[in-house]
Amino acid sequence: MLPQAESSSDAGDRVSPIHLSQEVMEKIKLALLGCGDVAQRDYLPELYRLSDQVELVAVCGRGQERARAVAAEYGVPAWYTDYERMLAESDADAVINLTPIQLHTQTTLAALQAGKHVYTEKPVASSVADARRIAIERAQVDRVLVCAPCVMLFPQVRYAQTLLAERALGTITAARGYGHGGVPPWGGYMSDPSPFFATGGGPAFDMGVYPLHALTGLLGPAQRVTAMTSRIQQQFTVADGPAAGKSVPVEVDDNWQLLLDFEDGRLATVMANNCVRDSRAPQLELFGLGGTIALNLLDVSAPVDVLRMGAGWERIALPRTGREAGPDHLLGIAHLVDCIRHQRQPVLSIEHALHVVDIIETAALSAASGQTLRLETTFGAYGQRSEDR
Amino acid sequence: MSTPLKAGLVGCGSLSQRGVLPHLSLPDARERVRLVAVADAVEERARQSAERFGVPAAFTSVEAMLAEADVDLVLVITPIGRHFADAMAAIQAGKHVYVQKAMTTTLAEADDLLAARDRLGVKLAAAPGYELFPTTERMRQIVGDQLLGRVAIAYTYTMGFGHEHEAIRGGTSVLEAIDPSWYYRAGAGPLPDVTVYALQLATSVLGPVRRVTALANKVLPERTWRDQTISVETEDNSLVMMEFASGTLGVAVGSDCRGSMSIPWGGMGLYGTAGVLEITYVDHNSGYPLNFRVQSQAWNTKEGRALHEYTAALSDQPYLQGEHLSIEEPHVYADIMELVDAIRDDRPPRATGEQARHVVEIIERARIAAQTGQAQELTSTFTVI
Repeated sequence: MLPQAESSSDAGDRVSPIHLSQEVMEKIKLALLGCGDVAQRDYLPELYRLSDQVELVAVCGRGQERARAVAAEYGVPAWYTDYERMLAESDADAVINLTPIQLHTQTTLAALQAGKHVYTEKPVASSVADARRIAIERAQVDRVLVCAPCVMLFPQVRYAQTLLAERALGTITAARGYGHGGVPPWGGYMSDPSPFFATGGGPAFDMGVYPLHALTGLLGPAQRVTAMTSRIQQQFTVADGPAAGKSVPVEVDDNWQLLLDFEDGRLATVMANNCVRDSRAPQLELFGLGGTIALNLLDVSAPVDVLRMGAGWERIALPRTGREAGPDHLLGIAHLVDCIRHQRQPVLSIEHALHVVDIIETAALSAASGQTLRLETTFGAYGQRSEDR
Repeated sequence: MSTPLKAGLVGCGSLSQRGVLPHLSLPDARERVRLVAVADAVEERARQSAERFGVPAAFTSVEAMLAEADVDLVLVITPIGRHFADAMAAIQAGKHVYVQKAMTTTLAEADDLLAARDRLGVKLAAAPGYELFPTTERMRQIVGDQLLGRVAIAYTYTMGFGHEHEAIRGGTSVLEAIDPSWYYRAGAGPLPDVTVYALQLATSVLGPVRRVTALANKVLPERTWRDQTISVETEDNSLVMMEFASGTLGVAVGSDCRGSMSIPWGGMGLYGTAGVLEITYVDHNSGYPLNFRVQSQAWNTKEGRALHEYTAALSDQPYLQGEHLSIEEPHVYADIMELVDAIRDDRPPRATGEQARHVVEIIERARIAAQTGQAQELTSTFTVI
C-alpha cells in the first residue's frame, strides 16, 4: 500500500503497456477480496482501463457497509462479507487478494483450492513456510498465481533492465534500495492501519518488498544477508480517518537495515522503515564502474536519472503507463489476465516472491543473532518477459 | 608574534605535494609553523620537495629526521600502513604529532599510540578534523535539540576510483610519478582511506558506535598505474552497518563505482521520527559539508513541514582564508593549524586521537565481521570536545 505520489504535470504521450489480443474474447471474471484502502485508492478506480478484458463479478469486505458501498459504486453484481462464501458461490475466474498482510496466506490458499487464479498483494505470505505452502498448492491446482509488487513491469525498472543488459553502467558493484514513507497512517488513509504494525507485518514486508523485488529482479537472487533492526516507536495514535484516536501497538521492529551480497562483487544496502519522513533519495540506485542509474519505484510517471562515465547526469522521460502517477498495480492485473489467457507462467512469480520473503525472514534472524546468513531460495532470471516469448 | 613552531613532515607523496607543502609555504602559515625538515623513503623526492618548498633539510626516514633535525611537531603524511610506526617514533622522541587518516590500522596500535602520547605528555591530532568546520557542530546541535526526534537511521556514502587515477601521478618528475600501490595492500584500501571520512563525520554528529557488521569484497583484482600492474590485496567494495550507542542504525557505503543521485560524496542523511537532515553539498576539496537541509515535523501529524536550508562557505573555517581556499586538501591544512594553535595554547586539539581510535576500531571490526559473518561489539569510545 502506498501513498499517492504527487502528480507530475508533464503530459507525455500515453502508451498503454497493456497489449492484449484484439480478438473478441470472453471477459475474465474477477472477484475482489478486500475493500480497504489500497482497493479503493489504487485498484478499483483504475480497473476501467481493463474493462474490455475483465469484469468485476464480486467484491468481499469484512464490513458489510463498505462491501455494499463499493459494489454499488463500481456496479458489481454481488458483494460478500464472507470470503469462503464468495469463493463457493461466485463464478469468478480469478481472485484479486487485497486483504491485510496477516490474511494473505489463508485467503490465497482458499482461492487456489476453490480453483481460482490469484493475484495477491504483497507480501505473498509473512513466512517462508507459508509461502512454500502457497507455492505447493499453486502447483497442485495448476492455476496462475501473480505476486505483487509488479515493480518489474514498471517502465523505470524495465529501462534499468535494458541498461544492464547493454552493460551501459559497466560492472555493477553496489546498489541501494529505499523502502520507506509508504506505511500508513498518512492523511486520508481509509482503513485501520494496525495490520501494518502487527506481527506478520512491518516495514520490510510492506515497503522493503519494492526495492527487494526490483533489486533481485534486476541482479538475480541474493546469496547472503546481514541485518540490524530496531524499534523506534512502541505505539502511536492514529491521527485521522476511520480509526482516528486508536492507539496502535508497534509489534514488529520499525527500522530495518539490510546488507545483501549478490556475489560476483555486488553488494547492496536496503532500508525499510516506518521512521523516515522524507528523503531526496530515489527508491533504488544501481552503481556500476561505468555509471549509475537512479529510479523511482513508487511513481510510474517519474523519469529515471542516469550518470555515465565522462558525462553528467541525464534525466530520461519514459513511456507512460495508463496511470497518471503513483504505483500502477494494474500492470500486475494485466499480467494476470495475460497469463490466464495464454496459459503462461507469470514473471511476477511465487518463486521470486518467496525469495523476497526469505530475504526478510532471514534478515530478521540475522538481526537477532548478529550473523551473516546464507539464503536458501532462488528463482529464475528475468531475462525473458512472458509477452516477449 | 612569538616564534613559529618547528615542524618536520614525513611522507612527500601526493597529498603533501598537492596540499600540505603548498599550504604550509604561505606566509600566514609560516608565521605560526615553519617546516624545517621533510622525509621520504625516496631520497630524491625528499630532496626535491625540500628544494621546491624552501625547507632546509631532507631525510629518508622519520628516524633520521628525528635524530638530526630540531622539531617540535611531526606531520605524518605517509601511506596508511606506515602511520603507526612513524607517529610512534615521533611521540617517543617527545614530539607532538599530526597523523593522517586512518590513524592506524588496528585498535591495538591506536591504544599504544595514545598511551605513549599520554606517557610522554605530547599532543596528538588525527585526521579528518570535522570538528573544525562549523556545519558539524550545527548538525550535532540539531540532533541534540531533538529537531529530528529520535534519529533512526544514518546513511553515509563515499565512492571513488582509487589513487592511481590522481592527475598528479601521471607526471614524470619524481615529485609527480608517485607510486600508489601501497593503497591496495592489505590494511589499506578505501575503508581507512575514504569510508573513514563518513565514519568520522557520522560519529562526530551521532557519537560512538557499539556494534558493527559488514559485507566486503574485491571488484577489481588488479589495478593499472602507468605501465605497472598492481595486485589488489585489500577489499575495494564495502558496506559497513553500525548500531550507534544512541540506538541509531547506520550504513556507510564505500564502493568503487560512480556517484549517487541522492547523497553527495562524503555526505550523510539522518532520518528521525520528527525530521530529516540531508547533506546536499560537500566541498570537493575539503570534504566539508557546506549545505544541508532539515525538514522537521512531529510524528503522525499532517502539519506542514518546516524546511531549513543551512549554507556555509569554506572560508567559514578560520584557517582557510585567501590563497588557502584555492589549494587542494584545505582540511588537512586546517587540521595541522588547529594542532599548532593547540600546542601554542597548551590545550587539547579538537581532532582527537580518541575519536580516530574509535573509527579505526569500527574499520578493524567491520573487516572481521565481513570475514567471519558475525557482528562485532566495539570496546572503545570517545567524547566530542
